[in-house]
Amino acid sequence: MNPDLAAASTAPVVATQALSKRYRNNYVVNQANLTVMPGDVFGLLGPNGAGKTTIIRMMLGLVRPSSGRALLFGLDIGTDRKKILNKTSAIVEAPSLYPHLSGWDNMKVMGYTAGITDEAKMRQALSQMGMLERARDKFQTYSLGMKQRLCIAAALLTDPQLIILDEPTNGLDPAGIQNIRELIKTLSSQGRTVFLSSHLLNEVQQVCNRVAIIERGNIIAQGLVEEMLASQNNIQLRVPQRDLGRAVQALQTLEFARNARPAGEYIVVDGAANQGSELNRALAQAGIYPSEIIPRHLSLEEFFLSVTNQPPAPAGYPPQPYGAPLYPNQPPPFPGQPVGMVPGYPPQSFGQPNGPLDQPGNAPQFNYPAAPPPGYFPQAQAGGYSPQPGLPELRGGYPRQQNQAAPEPKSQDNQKGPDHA
Amino acid sequence: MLNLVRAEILKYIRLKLVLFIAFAPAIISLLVAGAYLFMKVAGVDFGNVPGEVGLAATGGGTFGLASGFVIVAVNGVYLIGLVITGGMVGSNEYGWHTIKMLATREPSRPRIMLSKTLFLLTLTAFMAGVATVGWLILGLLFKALYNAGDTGSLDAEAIGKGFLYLLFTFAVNFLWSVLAMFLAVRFKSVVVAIIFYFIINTLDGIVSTLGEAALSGQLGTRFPNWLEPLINITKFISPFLVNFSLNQLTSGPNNPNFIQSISAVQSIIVLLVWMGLFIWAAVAVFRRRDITE
Repeated sequence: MNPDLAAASTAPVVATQALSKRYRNNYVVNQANLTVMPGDVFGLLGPNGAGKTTIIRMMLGLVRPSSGRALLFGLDIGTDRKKILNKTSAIVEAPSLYPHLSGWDNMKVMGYTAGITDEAKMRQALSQMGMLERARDKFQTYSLGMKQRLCIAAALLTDPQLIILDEPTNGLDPAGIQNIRELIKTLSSQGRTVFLSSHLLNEVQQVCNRVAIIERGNIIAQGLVEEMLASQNNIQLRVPQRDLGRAVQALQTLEFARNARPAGEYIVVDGAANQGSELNRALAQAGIYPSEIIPRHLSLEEFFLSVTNQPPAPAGYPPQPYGAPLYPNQPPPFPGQPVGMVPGYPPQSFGQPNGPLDQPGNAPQFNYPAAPPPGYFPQAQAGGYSPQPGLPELRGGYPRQQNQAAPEPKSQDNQKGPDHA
Repeated sequence: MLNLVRAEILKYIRLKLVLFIAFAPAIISLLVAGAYLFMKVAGVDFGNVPGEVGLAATGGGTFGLASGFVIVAVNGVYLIGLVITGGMVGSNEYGWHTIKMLATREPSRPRIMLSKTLFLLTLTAFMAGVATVGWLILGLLFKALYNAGDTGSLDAEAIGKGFLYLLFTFAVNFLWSVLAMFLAVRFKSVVVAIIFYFIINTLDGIVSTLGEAALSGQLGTRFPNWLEPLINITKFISPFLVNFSLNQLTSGPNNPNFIQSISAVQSIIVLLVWMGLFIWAAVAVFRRRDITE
């Protein structure tokens, strides 16, 4: 391969360096360091007002940063805006085209604006977005999804390498969201880099391979989605108490299960939620047959809630697909449990064991703090995401009430484990 | 740049209001022609061709009469139409939320603003063209309606004066529409732009009237001498006075409504300077615009 091309393919398409925007004394964006690699579908996640759009505006040179800089294709947007915009298309906030013009006229206006007069190219872009049949209708008669698609078609006219979409699924119905999702996948399959912002976590999880989480202007985590979530999943195997030690040893012979550790009647293996059959086989070969194998996957939403210290899920929030079962020895509801919390909702997911579990007879005792979230257990930072420099690492756990001190871990094992009284 | 102007034309040609403004001279010509024809059918005898009429004194004969209708009397309609369009060209993009989109496109912000200016110039030229056609057709129609006779020399003079008047009048109209565009870009609102336009126009009118009164001795004989140079400077830098001086080019020497002002060359220079100033101001404001403001 041409060394220049090889170098280019590993250089980030977007790299923001300590990018900040301050309005009066309020930092809307604070020291944001983002990295987007070529071919990525990058999701900038955050609640409304977190600073997502401001970052996009700064990336496009629409807003001057208070400090820091945004590099796109290795060029500074502050000094090389024109060169950057030649390779970039962006839809900031609502899809905005001329309401009194037809889709076709809008494409012509956009084409002329970009110096493109080839109508075949316009037709092709419309066709690619499935808008050819409605091209003669006025933009104002389109549904939000169609407007979004037309805007993307217009964005494609310049054959951009980077497409920036600000909240592309905002206000869309499920079918519209599905449409946009497919579009983004199509764009990605064409080798384009897509940068999108959203507060729809499920949406982002389905289309993005890399995400960054922003809260109140601070990037609090970023990395590859798979690695981020993989670092937070685990598998729990229930084996007879008498075989616990032997089972742990048997599992630790597997490369991916070296972190296997006992937790009550269970053995917990971090990052191995998809390795159930291999673990089962290893145990069977050692003559141990687990009575339960419970893979636990963290969704992006749970990950997001955990790192942003969001409140726990509301009453009636459905348990995880791989939710832990109710245990016979399940303790009574913890003090301060929110009213309406799903009965039996995995209390095993939080709390700290009182002592080292690998010592015989040291049955774990759990503290049940005031407001635990469902389905997430605090976990030390592992590979897969990187907290923003100067900011706290993954906080894990659940939101603490204000003025409530962080619970001191009483053992080294702060991983997710089964409920155990 | 040509493509950007094409885009602007495409955007605005679909707006009924802009179409109405663009064809206003034709509509007015048709209305005048319709009224005359109606009166002719009703049995009115128009008599001989009138002599020079109107304040602007754009010549006599049927073409002088027609220009008095289509170019001079209703210029206020064209002017306000162009001012509204100038305001829309600046503010609509904000209303349509496309300014952000345009700002994220390839063309530079100055080029966007210059293309809008060129669109206004195109519209002004189009209106002037339509007005010319309407005026000439109306002049010919009047020949049929009046007892014209041989008015060759009158017609030649009237057409010459009419063209000159049309040229300068629409140039000033363009100047005001560019001002409105700048104001709309500055304030992001066509309404605010038009309000400011009227404020500036009124201030100009006051300056103009006071200047005229002072120079003609209407403010008294004890008018301080040191004010005269100041008035001359004001007269030179005020676009409204430019308008007066342009009117003067085609008006009679004894017309009391017009002050003796600057020369035609100076007028043209001042006009171009003010156009450049407003365009530069619009470009400068848009270039520095923080879209989040």
